[in-house]
Amino acid sequence: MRSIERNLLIIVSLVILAAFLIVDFAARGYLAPVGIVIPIVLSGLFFTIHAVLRRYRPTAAELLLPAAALLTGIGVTMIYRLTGGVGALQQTMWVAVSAILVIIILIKLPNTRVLLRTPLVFLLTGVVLLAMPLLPVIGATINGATLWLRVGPLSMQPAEFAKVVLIIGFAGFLAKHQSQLTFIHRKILGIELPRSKDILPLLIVWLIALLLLVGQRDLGTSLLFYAAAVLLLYVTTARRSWLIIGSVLLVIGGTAAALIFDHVATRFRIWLNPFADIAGDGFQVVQAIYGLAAGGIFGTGLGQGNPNLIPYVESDFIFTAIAEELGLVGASAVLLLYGLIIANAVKTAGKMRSAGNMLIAAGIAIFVFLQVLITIGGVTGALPLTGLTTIFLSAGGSSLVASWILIALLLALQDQDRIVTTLPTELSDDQTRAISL
Amino acid sequence: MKPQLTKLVTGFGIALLLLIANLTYLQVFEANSLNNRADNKRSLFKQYDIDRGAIIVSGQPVAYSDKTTGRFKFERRYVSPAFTHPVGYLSSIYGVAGIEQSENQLLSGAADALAIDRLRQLLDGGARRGGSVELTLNGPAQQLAYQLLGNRIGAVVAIDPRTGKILVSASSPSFDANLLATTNAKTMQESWNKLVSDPAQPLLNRASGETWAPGSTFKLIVAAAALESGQYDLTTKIPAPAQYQVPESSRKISNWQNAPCSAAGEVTLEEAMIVSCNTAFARLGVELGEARILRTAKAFGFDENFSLANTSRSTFPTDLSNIELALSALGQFDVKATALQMALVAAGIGNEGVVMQPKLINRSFAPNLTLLSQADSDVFNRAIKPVTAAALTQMMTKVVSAGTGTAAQIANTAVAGKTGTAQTKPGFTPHAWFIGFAPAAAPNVAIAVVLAGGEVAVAGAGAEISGNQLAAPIAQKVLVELLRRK
Repeated sequence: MRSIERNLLIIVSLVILAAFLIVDFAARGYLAPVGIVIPIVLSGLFFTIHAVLRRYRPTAAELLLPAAALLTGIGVTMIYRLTGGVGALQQTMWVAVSAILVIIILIKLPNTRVLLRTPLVFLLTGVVLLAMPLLPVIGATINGATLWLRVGPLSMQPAEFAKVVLIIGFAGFLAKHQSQLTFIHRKILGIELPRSKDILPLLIVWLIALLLLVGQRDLGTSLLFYAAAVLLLYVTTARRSWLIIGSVLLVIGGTAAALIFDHVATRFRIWLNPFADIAGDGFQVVQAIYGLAAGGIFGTGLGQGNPNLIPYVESDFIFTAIAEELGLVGASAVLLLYGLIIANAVKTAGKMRSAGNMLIAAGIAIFVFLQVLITIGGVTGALPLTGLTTIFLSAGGSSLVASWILIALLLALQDQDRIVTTLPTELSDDQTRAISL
Repeated sequence: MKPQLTKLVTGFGIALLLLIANLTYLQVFEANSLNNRADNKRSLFKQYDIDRGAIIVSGQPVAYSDKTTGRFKFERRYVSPAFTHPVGYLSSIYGVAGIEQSENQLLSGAADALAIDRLRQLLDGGARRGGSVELTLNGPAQQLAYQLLGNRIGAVVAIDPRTGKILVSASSPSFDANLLATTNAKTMQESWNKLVSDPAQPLLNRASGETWAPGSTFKLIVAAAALESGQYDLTTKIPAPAQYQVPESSRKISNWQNAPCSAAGEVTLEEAMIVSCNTAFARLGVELGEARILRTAKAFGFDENFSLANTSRSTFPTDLSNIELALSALGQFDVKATALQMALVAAGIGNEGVVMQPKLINRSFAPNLTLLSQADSDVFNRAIKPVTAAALTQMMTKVVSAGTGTAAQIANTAVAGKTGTAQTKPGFTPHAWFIGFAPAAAPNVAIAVVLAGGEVAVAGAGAEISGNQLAAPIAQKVLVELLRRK
């Protein structure tokens, strides 16, 4: 049972162990105890999830856990290489927290139908989470972006958890209003337009996204949530008009923000020509691009590059550190692992019978995809740079825990219909008898 | 599956492929040009991961790579500031200079000749190793020259006239190259800022990178042009009054202390050289004309390039009026020469008129110490006829034995030389020069010493005196050291 998953996890464990040994021997020249302990702890956590899946979710997809595990392992290895044992241990602790939450969800989560009943509660919770960094005292600004909550030594990015809550909220809301949103009012210039009153929810999301952009000074979060809402509308209705309306609003909002707010304009300027101000605004992106160039096709080798030249490399720019030391080959492998998770989520969505469940799975696919696109596009100069973290890889607990919750939701979704579908094949006479005598 | 989901996943797939395409563009197609950008520190950092080859002088490494335990595998170390200017430095922030720069391919192991070594290192594992370079410099003489320059601004260049091998190339003031090669970025930045703001400009290479007015040492070129013209010989009489009224000019050229060069009011060419007679040479220059002097100067290397890295071009001006020509004949006005150039003038005269191409690299070795290349002797130019060279040598020998350059005398060895004192700005002391070679009959060392004039008056600094008083004693000591070693 689940032998593919088990075999893949064995390979993943060996890869992580080998990577830690390479960092220890090749880059540091000695073997540190943490270099052995961390890979063993990580493997233990992944195999525990595997055991829980075997017992409670036997029909869930087998590729998902190994893919997420490998990404997480690569992340911890890079954090070990970039910041040392303490940083890696901290991240391992967050993997453990993630694993515990994943196990709880896999065992305890009721059928997602329950979650879909109260979309407004989830939507409001999501908006509150998003807005929390703007609160006095506990809200905190790091690197110019107000995305953090800070209580004592602990800090977290509530937007990462807002993601989870909003996926459920969006799914419930859209499933409820599916027919209404699909309704076409009229055709203008060959474009089918919905009724103007049906555009209202999208306008609200757009407005919230703009407020976030202004308040938190970060392109990434507002773009992520807005674009996710538009794509989910499209998935719900299959109407291209929503994509068009969404794009138009995006362009209007983006242009206005760039014209009015200096920090938005700066981000765009760096994006258009990072080399214009190498020592100043463009420094981070230029150093990252130099790292990519230094890596070439096969990379400099773990511990052999100079990714530490990039400020905040272990959080925002961890992907370029991977691309520098593992090369185009390693970077493409990471992107393909994301692709695997995204494709698996879309496939799951296709199998779902209810619109709500379909939208949860599609929502997970959309959020993972958008966050990968925005962060990796940003750090490689393809898109404007944002303060979002690279999921599964970046140092930091919020992003990692939230990403693993999405994986757990997906695994739960894949298995929950089993109870309905697997009927006993042969029914006894007693069971089929209409009248009991 | 619903069609919109198929479209969604197709779009996602395309977007991820575009990200990979962008990565491929940056990591494969643009990688080289990005790696070569001047502000890209990674390429310089890479140099610290290479077991870079040593730079060797007189059998001892003067620059070598040392294993470190820090962020970099190797740190570059330099033994003495006496070698800083010819050897250069390797700095992660401020780039590469000197031999470190010109021989970077070999030292870093990137040279084509080392392809097989690189393959072997790849199979063996471990750091890349570079080849090593042996310089032509004479270590003890270089050290001595640097010490003799002391805290003055100036340079000493010594050359083997027969081969063009540079034996001494000392520039003062110098600096500790370790301060720029350190892996401590803060030390490096502070040291650099100090070097850049130092008014004595220690980063300048006074031996081959800076040009100066050559002053009276340039009279050798004028005399050579006169002898080559066939219209003059050593006994040709030239009027030598206290003052020379330059034709078509209101200005006069004066002798030092405003006295005629001889009681008779005229001197032979030989006597003019021995006492460094200004009025005689100014007249000679005007009579010879710009073209002849320019041709001879070019023959020695003025306005030409030597095949030596980090070398400035010496220049002789053109389109001169008579007064400008008269001043140029005295090595003033816009005549500018490096110490290296003036050493090559002396070397050319000592080598029967043949100027050899200057060489700083003697031999180069692969990482396994097999010989890769050995310097040949290349002729730069047959500048003057042997008889002209012999006549000039005769005059220069008398300059040292009984003329203005007596401070360069060496017991039991005839030295040929010429002093020079180049006016700088009013109120400034002049540059002091001495160029020459020894032994006069069959020289194996030619030398040029230059000391910069400055704002502060040096005791005894006057006209011809300073060349003999300041520069000639340094030349004498370095010559003694180099002759002892031969």
